[in-house]
Parts: sequence; C-alpha cells; structure tokens
Amino acid sequence: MLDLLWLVALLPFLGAALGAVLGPRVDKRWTTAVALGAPGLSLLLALGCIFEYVRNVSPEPFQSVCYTWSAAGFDGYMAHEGGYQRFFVYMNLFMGSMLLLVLGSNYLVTFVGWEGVGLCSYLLIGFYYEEKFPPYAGRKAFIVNRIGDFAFLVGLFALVSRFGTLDYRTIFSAVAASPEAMGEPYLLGMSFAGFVGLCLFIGAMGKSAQIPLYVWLPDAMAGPTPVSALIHAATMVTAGVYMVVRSNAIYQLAEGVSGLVAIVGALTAIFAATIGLAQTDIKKVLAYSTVSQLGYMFLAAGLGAYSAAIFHLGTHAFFKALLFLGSGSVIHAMGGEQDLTKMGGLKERLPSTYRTMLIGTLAISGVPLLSGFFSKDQILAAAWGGSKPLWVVGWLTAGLTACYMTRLLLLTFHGEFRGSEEQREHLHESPPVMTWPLWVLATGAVVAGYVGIPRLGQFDIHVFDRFLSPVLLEVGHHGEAHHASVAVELALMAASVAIAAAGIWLAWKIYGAARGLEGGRGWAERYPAVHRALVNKYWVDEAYDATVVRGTWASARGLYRFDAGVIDGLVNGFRHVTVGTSMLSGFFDKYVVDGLVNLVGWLTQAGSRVFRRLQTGLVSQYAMVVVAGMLVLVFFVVLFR
Amino acid sequence: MGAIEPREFLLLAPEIFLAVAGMVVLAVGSIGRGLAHRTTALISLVSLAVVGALVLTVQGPAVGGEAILAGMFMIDGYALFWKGIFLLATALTIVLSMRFVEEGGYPAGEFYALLLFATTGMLFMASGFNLLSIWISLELMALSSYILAGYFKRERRSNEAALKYFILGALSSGILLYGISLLYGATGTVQLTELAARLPAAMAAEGMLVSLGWLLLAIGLFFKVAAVPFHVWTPDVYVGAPTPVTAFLAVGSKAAAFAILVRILYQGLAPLLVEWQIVVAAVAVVTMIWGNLAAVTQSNVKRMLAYSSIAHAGYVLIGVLAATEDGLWAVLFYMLAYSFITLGTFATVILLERREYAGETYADYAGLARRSPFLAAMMLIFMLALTGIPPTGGFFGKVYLFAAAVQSGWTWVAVVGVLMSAVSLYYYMGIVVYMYLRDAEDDTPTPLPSRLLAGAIGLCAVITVLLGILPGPIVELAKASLLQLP
Repeated sequence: MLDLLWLVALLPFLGAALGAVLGPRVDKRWTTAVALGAPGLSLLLALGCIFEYVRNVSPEPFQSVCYTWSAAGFDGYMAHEGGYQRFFVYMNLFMGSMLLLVLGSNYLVTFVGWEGVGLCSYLLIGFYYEEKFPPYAGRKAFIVNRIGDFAFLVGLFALVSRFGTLDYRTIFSAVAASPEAMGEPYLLGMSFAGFVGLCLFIGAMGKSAQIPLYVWLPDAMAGPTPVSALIHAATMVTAGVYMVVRSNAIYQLAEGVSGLVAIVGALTAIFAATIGLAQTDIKKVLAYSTVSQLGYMFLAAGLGAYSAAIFHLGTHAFFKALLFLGSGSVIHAMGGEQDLTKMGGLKERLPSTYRTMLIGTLAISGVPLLSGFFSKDQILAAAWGGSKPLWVVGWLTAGLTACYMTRLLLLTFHGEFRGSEEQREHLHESPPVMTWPLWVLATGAVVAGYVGIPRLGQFDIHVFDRFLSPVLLEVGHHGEAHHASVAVELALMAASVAIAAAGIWLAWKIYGAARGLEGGRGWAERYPAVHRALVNKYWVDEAYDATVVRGTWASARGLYRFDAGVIDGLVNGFRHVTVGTSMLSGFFDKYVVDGLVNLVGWLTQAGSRVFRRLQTGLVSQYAMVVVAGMLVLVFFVVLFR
Repeated sequence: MGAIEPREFLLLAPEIFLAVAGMVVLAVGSIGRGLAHRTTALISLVSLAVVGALVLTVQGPAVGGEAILAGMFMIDGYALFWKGIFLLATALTIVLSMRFVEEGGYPAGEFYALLLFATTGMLFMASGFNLLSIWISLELMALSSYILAGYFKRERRSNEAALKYFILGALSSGILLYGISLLYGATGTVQLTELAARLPAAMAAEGMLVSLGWLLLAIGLFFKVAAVPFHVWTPDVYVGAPTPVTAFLAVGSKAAAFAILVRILYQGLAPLLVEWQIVVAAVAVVTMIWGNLAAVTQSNVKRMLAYSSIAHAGYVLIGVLAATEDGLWAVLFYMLAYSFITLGTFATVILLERREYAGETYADYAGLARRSPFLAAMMLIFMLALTGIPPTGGFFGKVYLFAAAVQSGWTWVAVVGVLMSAVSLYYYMGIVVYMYLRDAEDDTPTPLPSRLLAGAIGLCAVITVLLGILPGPIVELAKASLLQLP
C-alpha cells in the first residue's frame, strides 16, 4: 500500500488534466465525476496508507503521511460547490500540488508543490475575473507570495551548496551529525542554520500570512467561499507552518531565528485579532482570525513545541473550515450579502448553520472539552515554559479571539434582522448537501482535540506526539519545551478558560441581547481613535501602497527608461547580428550553393532542355562542397597531428 | 580465429528472418495488385514484431557481448538497444506511410520491401564488428534508401532527390571505403578489436597513413549523419523525398550511422582518442551553428526540419565527443527520444499535407489551433521537445549530452550547444506562432484523415512527455547497454 503513495499525488493531477481536456462542452455530470473521482480515489489510497502506517510502524521514519490528514480532510466537502468545470480543474490541480507539497521527501518536491498551490491560489482568488476586485486580489496574493518564495529559494540554494542534496533525511541527519558546523558564521553575521532558517521562515511568512507579508490573505476572500475555506483557511496557508516544523532540525540549532519565529507569530496573532474586532465583512473577520491563528502556530513552532504547532494546525483546519463553510451558507441565504451590519436574527431561519457555527465559535474561543481548547492550551503551556511575555501576548489574544468570534456570531444570528425586505423573503436554510458537511466538520471540531490530550500526571496518552515522532528529531541540547508541573498546567488552563470567558462576556455585553450594532457604535464613539485604527486595519495597506508599491512603480519607470534606451539597444544589436549571420549562412546556401546551382540551372534553361532535366550542375556543386570540406579536415589533421 | 559454429548463424536469426520477410513482401506485392498495400503493410508490421521478439529471445541472452562469425559481428547490449530503436522507427514509419502508399498509386510491395531491406542493413550495422561487414550493411541500407527517396517516380522532385542522394552517397561511400583501405594498408586488419590492438604500432610506423585512413572513414560517416559540411544533400533530399521516407532517413538512417560511428570510434579507434576528439569537436560545433542558423530563414517546414535534423546531429556529436560512459548513454537516450519526437513531427506534417507536396509552408499552419486543436497540441509538444524544453524527453536528452561534455572537459562545445538551442527556439516557435496566433484563411475544421496515424502521433507525444517526466527507466536501460570503453 505504501508503495502506491505516489499515486495519491498523481491522481488529482490526472483529474485536472482530464477535466481540462474534456472542456466545458461535455455534460456537467462527467465533469463532476472526474472532479470527484480522482481525489476520491486518492483519498481512499491515502487512508489505506495511513492505516498501514499506523498498524505496522516500520523502523524507517516514514515521511509525512500524517500531513495528508489536512489535505485529505477537504476532499470530501469540496463536492458541494456545484458546477464550473474551470473551478474543478483548478481544485484538482490544487489538491495534487498540496499533496505533492506534503508528501515530498525533499525540499525540491515540496517547493514544486508550494509553487503549484500558489498558482492555484492565484487562479482561484481571481476566479470571478470579470469583476474588478478579484483579479486585483489574486495578483496581490501572487506578488506578496513571490517575496517569500524568493527567500525560500535562496534558502534552498544555501542547502544545496552545503549538502549537495535537498533530501530531508540526508540533510537532517547531516545536521544532527555535526551541530557545531551548523553554528559557524556563514553569511551576514549569521550561522548557517540561522541563515537557512531565516530564509525558510521568510518563505513561510508569505505563504502563511505572517507580519509583514500577511496583507494578501484578507483580500484573498474575494474568491469563492469554498476556496476560502479550503485553501485560505485549512490547507495551503498552513504550508508555512508545515515547512518550519518539517525543518525543525535546522531551527533547533538556530535559536535566534527560532525566537524571531515565535515573536513574529505572537505579534501577528494579537495584531490580526485586534483588527478582527472591528471588521464588518463576515469573511474578512474570519480571514483575520486565520492570520491570528497561524500566528499561534508559529509561536509554538518558534518555541520548539513543534507537535503543538501541528496539533493546532489540525484542530484549526476543522473549526476554521467549519466557520468558513457556515459563513458561506449565511452568505448564500442572504443572497450574496457579506456585510454583518445587514444581518442579524438569522438563528431561527438557519438552525443547522447556527448550531454548527456556534460549535465552531466555542471551539476556536478555547472553551473546555472542545478541540481548540486542547491545542491552544498546549501552545500556551509551551509559551509559559519558554517566555513569559510571549505567554501574555498569546493569552490576551485568546481573549480577543473569543471576543471577536462571539461578536460575529451575535451580529449574524442574534438580535433584529437588519437587511432589506427582499433579503428577508429570500432567507432559507441551505440544502442538506450543504449542511451535512457542516455537521461532519462540527463533529471534528469537537473531538479532534482528543488525540492530543495533555500530559497530566500518569495519563500520558499523546497519540499525536508518537505519530509525529519520526519527523521531530532531537538535535542539539533542547527538544520539546519543558513540561510544566501538573499544578502549573492546571493553573494555565484555568487562566485561559478565564480569559476566554472574559472575551465572550465582553462581546455579549456590547453586542448581546437586543443591543446589536448599537452597542458597538457606543464603544466606537467612546474610543474614536482606536476604532478608526482598527477599521482601517492600522493603515498597513495604505502604508505599503505609499512605500513599496509606489516605490516599485517609480523604480520600474526608471528601469524601463534604462531598458528601453540601453538594454533594448544592446538586445536589438545582438538580434541584428544574429539575424544577419543567419541570413548570411542562409544566403550562402541560397546564393552561393544554390545560386551556383541556379546559375547553372539558368544557363541550362537558356541552353538545353535535356541538360536542365538532368541538373548535373547541382550535384557537382554539392560534391564540390563535400570534397572541399574533406580537404579542409585532411589539411587540419595533417597539419596538427 | 576459431572454426565457425552453426550456432553462430542461429544468433543472426532476426536479421535473416527480416531479409526473408522483405522478399516475401516483395513477392506478395507483385502478385496481388488490388489490396496489396494493406496486406503488405500488415505482413511488414508483423514481421517487425517477430524480429523484435527474436532479437530479445535469441540475441538477448548474449547481451554480455559475443563476437560471432570470426569477429564479423558482435552481439551485445549496445547493439540490442540500437536494434530496438531501429525496429520501432521502422514500424512507425510503416504506419506513417500507409495512406501515402495507398493514395500514391505506386506499387506498395516495393515500398515496404525496401523499408525492410534497409532495416535489415541497419540491424547488421548495429552488430557490425568488422569494417567490411559494417560497410556492406551500410550499403544495403543506403541503396534501399536511394530508391525509397525516388519512390514517387513520376514526380520530378522525388527523382531529383533520389539522384542527388545516390550520387553524393556514392561519393561518400567511396571516401569511406578509401579510408578503410588505408587503415587496412597500415595495420593489415579491418576487425575492430585487432585494429585497436595494432593501431599503436602502426601509428609509430605509418602515422600519416593511419591518420588519413580514420579521417576519411569518419568523413564517410559524417555524411550519413548529415554533419556540416557533409550535409549538403540533406535539405534537397528531405524536401524532395516522400515525407514518410524523409522521416525514415531523419531517424533510422541517422541513428544507424551514429551506431556505427560510435562503435568504430570507441572500439576500433580507441587508441586515437585524442586525435579524433578534436575533429569531432570541430565538426559538432560547425554543424550546430550552421544547422541552426540556416534553419532560421526557412519558410518550408520540411526544409526547416532538414536543417533541424542537421543541428541535432551536432548535439549528438557532443555526446560522442565526451568519450565517457555518461556521454555514451546520453547518446543512446537522446537518439531514442529524438526518434519518437521526429517521427511524431513528420507524422503531423504528413497529416497536414493535402496532396503530395502541398501544405508544407509555415503559412499552411496558420490558425491550426482552431482548425484542429489536437494536431496543434501535438505539434506544440514536438516543437517544445525539439527545442529541449521540459517536461519533454528532448529536455533531458540535451541535459545529459551537455552534462557529459562538461564533465569530460569540453565545456566550450556544450556552451555552443546551449546557445544554439536558444537560437532554435526561434524557428520551432515560429510554427507555434503560426498555429496559435495567426488566423487561417478559412476556419473549417481539418478532419483527421486517418485514425491510425492520429494514434501514432498521440503515441509519440505520450512517449515524448513520459521521457520528460520519468526518464529513469530508459536511462537505466541505456546504462545497461554500454560499450566496453577505451
């Protein structure tokens, strides 16, 4: 079964190719069959592989099967966005690339998948290309990611130049064999591990939307909602976390960079959470929430709690996909409306959506016994052991998360309906085909936490840790973060439960009961500066526009002038030379060889019909060239032998 | 030299069978006039399959290398690899020819029989281990090819091509034979291993004779692979000959010439390595430059492909030049990939040719993407492969060739190869530009005249792409088919 693993990634690619070849002309059912059949088979295979891997754990560390979880998880529910053949081709392409990314046993294959998902992300964000904004958002995502990818590539070059290979196992065992060599100064005052770690982390920043490269993700919500749920919440954006964890052997030897990872993660977490407090677009709130939760994962990875990072990645995939699909159901019911200020009181009309989204909200807020609680707790416990200030930031973020998620839920489902009459008529629960995936994911959001129940005294279950253990090597002196005592752990749990409760209480206080928007408006009037900053997302986009974007334009114009004047002149010069030479050799064949021939032919035409038919002149000219060439070579060899 | 055992003839069963099959085809073709084109094509294809099976079963066990008939022939893995290429190329050529032969109104039996005879000669060439047996096999292939080029006997261009090919071929054959006689004069042998053994002594005694001998021998072979300046026949013959024959010449005959060129240089002339490397380098560079630059200004697709095939001979010579194991298997891989790419290209050209010679200019390809998306896509794949762009077999073929040259210290030759590949992009993409960006005069869809032919094109395209994605198995096969190196 494990031998067939390569098929897992190949099948979606075949599906994409087949879908593209079939084109929009064939019946929709065929498109759907191909679009679902290929990843379906792939999912079955992946499950088979996981089963076999779990049953007889082979001594060799089998790479990354665990990560097919996240990719396999979404195969199921993508079924429910009806229709477009183009959409399904992109989706299959995306799945193939994502599987390539996680199944690759070396950086190069991972990089190919990485670029592939980037491309699909761009294509899917700009899916509604006839509108104005989506193509712009797609380009923005692509360009911002390019910055990260460039650094990633530089990191890969450094790895190749040092190890001569990009194979994970070879590199990591080489790293583990000589930790001292990794610490020697390499470039720009950094050690080799530090330099590579920094490059890889910049790559991860782009893909996983961390400060300062997070700006593309909120705009990426311009794509279809299932795409937001799958690519921009559950799967692709976690690739950066995956890659940093995968490279843990390097990060363990680069303490400075690991610290940077943790700090960037923590800052992103709290920064995005505050922005999420004031957004009015339902998908934007979720987007900032995703950025914030990704920050959590990097916080964990930076502190060396790699399995906690992956654990949170897994639970987050469930509840965030659930929330996105739920928001999709809401938007669908509202006839395409995404503005929270136009919603309210949908609870009765959308019972299933409401209940599942409530579960998702509680899970992400860290309410005990739901999945988000366990994974967030692990990260906060690691932060407590690693750095108290970071713990404070993470702890505050947990409260903010509970607050803005409760706000979203209250504004959507409670209070009075604030939309138009037309929308009120239109309100309806989504068909079962859209609600049952919600329930599947809701179940996941509840139970997914139990694979990683924390160590409490004797109850050391930690199935998840053991699953990941082949990937997480112990390099250097410090491995997983130190484990706190039972008492401290319980205290930390209590603290996070308290702040979550506080967040929920605060949101209820402002938006709860029938207060709705009015409550929010009151707070905005009380703190106008804060409110403006949050609504305008701290003007980061504007700042980027004034500096990076305009700067790029200006330098582009300058370079263009240089290009048009100097480079094009040179290139054209070369072109003239090439064309000239080519024409010369063409002329030689045409006029000297053929010309002689034609001359003879012309002469013969004038002279004798018989002569022309035989065309002896032609062959003799050719023979002359052959003999001349022979004589040159003979001369050459005789002279220089 | 020991006595010859009957068993040694048995080892040549595939070649003997193919020669007999050719005669049978000839006979059948002359008896039944009406349906003969189908029957003879079928017999030819079946006998090629039988020969393939015979090569595997009879000669397969001897891959380790066994010299037979007093060292006249050598059965080894190297020969087997080439025989595989020849048989596949001939089989595809027959598929390519069927419509031509049917519509041309010329006797079918002769056409297929000549193809089979030429293939027999090629099989013997792959195993040839004695300059004389090599020369005779070469002539068997060449004489059949001359007639094939003139197969459209009422067409003036076809006649012209055949005559030119024959006269210049005879000239080169004379040069080749003269070279062999000089080598024999200097060493007293024409058997490759003995030649290699006696060359050092002969070099000391009769240096000039040896140098002239091997050089003339090599020039005769440069003519067959269409290396500059011995390429002059190529454009005219390729354009004049019926297109399936052109494909056969561009693939089969070129590959066979490379098979013996490499065997003679690597095994017979191994002691002269330093001397021939310089000449091969010079010829490779001139060939790549000349072939690519001349192709740029062509407006006839077949003429462009002729220059392109000259240029590709230059690339392969880079691998020959390396004289290392890497260079050798790169040559084998490249020729296999090149065979499928080129046959696919010519098959597409054949499908587009309306009547004997029409539909050959670039302008005839305008708007093809709209008229026939399938053919346009196939042609796109082949053009990418000929340029050497991934994911196609042409990419890995070039990478292996250039890498081998760099590793053996001939970096500057590889650099010329890379630069010239860039030039080739211009004229290959020219066709793509016409197919996808120019509008046709009329947009009526071009029907696929033959499913069989379309299937052959599809097969070539699939293999081309597969070689670009999973080159591993063929590389392993080629590595298992190496010669004993000097």
